[in-house]
Amino acid sequence: MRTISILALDTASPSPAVTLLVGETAFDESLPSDRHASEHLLAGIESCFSRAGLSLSECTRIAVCAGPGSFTGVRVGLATAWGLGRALDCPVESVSTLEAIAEAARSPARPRLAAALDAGREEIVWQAFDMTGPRAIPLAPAARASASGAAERAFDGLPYASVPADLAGPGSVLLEAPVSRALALAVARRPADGPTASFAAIYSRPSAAEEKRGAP
Amino acid sequence: MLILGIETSCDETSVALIEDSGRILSNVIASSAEAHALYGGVVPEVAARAHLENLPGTFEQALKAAGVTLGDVSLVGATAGPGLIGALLVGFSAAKALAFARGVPLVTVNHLEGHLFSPYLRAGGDPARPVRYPFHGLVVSGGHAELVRVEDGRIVPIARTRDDAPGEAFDKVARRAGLGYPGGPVIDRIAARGDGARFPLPVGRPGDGTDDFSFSGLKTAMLREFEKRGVTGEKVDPDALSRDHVDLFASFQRAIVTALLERVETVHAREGIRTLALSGGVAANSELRATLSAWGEERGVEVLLPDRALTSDNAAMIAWAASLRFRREGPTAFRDANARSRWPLGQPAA
Repeated sequence: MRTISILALDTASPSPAVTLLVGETAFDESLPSDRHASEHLLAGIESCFSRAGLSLSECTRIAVCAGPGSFTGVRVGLATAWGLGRALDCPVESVSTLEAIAEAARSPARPRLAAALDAGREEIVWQAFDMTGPRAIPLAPAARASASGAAERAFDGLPYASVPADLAGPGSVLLEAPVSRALALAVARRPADGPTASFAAIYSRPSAAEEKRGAP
Repeated sequence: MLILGIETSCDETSVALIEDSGRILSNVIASSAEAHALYGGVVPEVAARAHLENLPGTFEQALKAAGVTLGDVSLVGATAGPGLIGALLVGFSAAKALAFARGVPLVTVNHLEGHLFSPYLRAGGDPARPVRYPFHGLVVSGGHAELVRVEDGRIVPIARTRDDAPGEAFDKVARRAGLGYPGGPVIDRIAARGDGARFPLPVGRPGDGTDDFSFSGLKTAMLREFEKRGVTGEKVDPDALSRDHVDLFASFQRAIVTALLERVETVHAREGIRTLALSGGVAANSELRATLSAWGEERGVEVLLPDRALTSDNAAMIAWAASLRFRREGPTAFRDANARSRWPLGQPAA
């Protein structure tokens, strides 16, 4: 049987990185966290494959953080994943960045946990997950909350993970590996069923122009 | 040689397939203009979101219409600027990923260079007209007014707008008059039945001896006219305007066309080049086309007008510019290349 090799892209979170998971071995490349992540994305991917001694065409599945996160980063990741998947004829799975963060904090000690990201305008966007199965399962839709003291108020006493750490108050779970690696591992455990995901981005909020017109 | 073009610099998502002869096999455009109409102009974040939604479908449609597969493509041309950075990054990232994964060369294309060579393309499935250098190129659109000399392998800027672009002036005036967005086509239609000589409107020139354009004074003069005449910006029926208002819009359009013609005339007299290639969204304007054609006939200048279907942003012109550049310079080292919002004509990609 062919070894599975999963390429996972995260340009949505504030710590962007790519991971190539070959069997049980993960090859990570972190990317600059500024606006230039897109310039380094293909180089990062190339480096992962070269370290693994694989060619791009041996990729069996692509996973990508679809947001929430940096609006531009979300789109660069999804557009790149689409282009690679289309050119390599390789299935692409797009996954919520919050789900990927929850996966990065996975531990038997935490059957349920919350994941959070900055949503701008002094708000965070967060979501609670059930972690007892092979993949994180949302307990409720993602929601925005005021950033100050959100952990105590909003997360219902659940442990939480965020990028960067302690986004909603002290005590967030320490993440030991990049979110892209957690994403690759999750997809390796249980790929999404059926046809590959759409390339729909998940945004933490409407555009400023839409908000001004009263969009939620 | 089959060339794939991808364009997402503003509010049109476009994917095209052309041969290196310039024959267009497909040129699919998905516009988010309707969404922007709510705001009276292009909203960058709304445009960027729409590009990502539209790109995969537009791409498949273009391949299907051309009757080819991605495996047949041997060169990718992608707009890398100038434009809205969030919008550019969608198409540029996708184009880079496609070329990278297929192992085919990519050429980063300046959007304005795409427009410049678009009058040589023909929309009916014919090969492009032969490009003969040098020629003068006039790009007039919602974001630009650029007059350049195009030599073989070099683009020399001559004049550009210091403030508003003509298409922008059309849009702002139309919005302020309750005529909706975009403003160019509706004003063109109104002006056709008006007297453009009735209200002489000022078109300023920067007082520094350059050939640059300035259209913000004209726009302000129009807004003052609106105030004087009690035009409130409330939605109006363009077919039910008073005689005075019809003539006012006709005079506004005449002022823009006259400013462009004057500059073309000055530069022609100085440089004596025998070909003028008009392009950009405002190249669809009837009066501009007719005026420049008549001028060309009088002066013995060949005036190339783009097919109307190729005046708006489209990927066929991007693929064509990529093809011309590839023949001369070969591919771009694109792996670490990025899109850029500013990229003046004549300057190399950063």
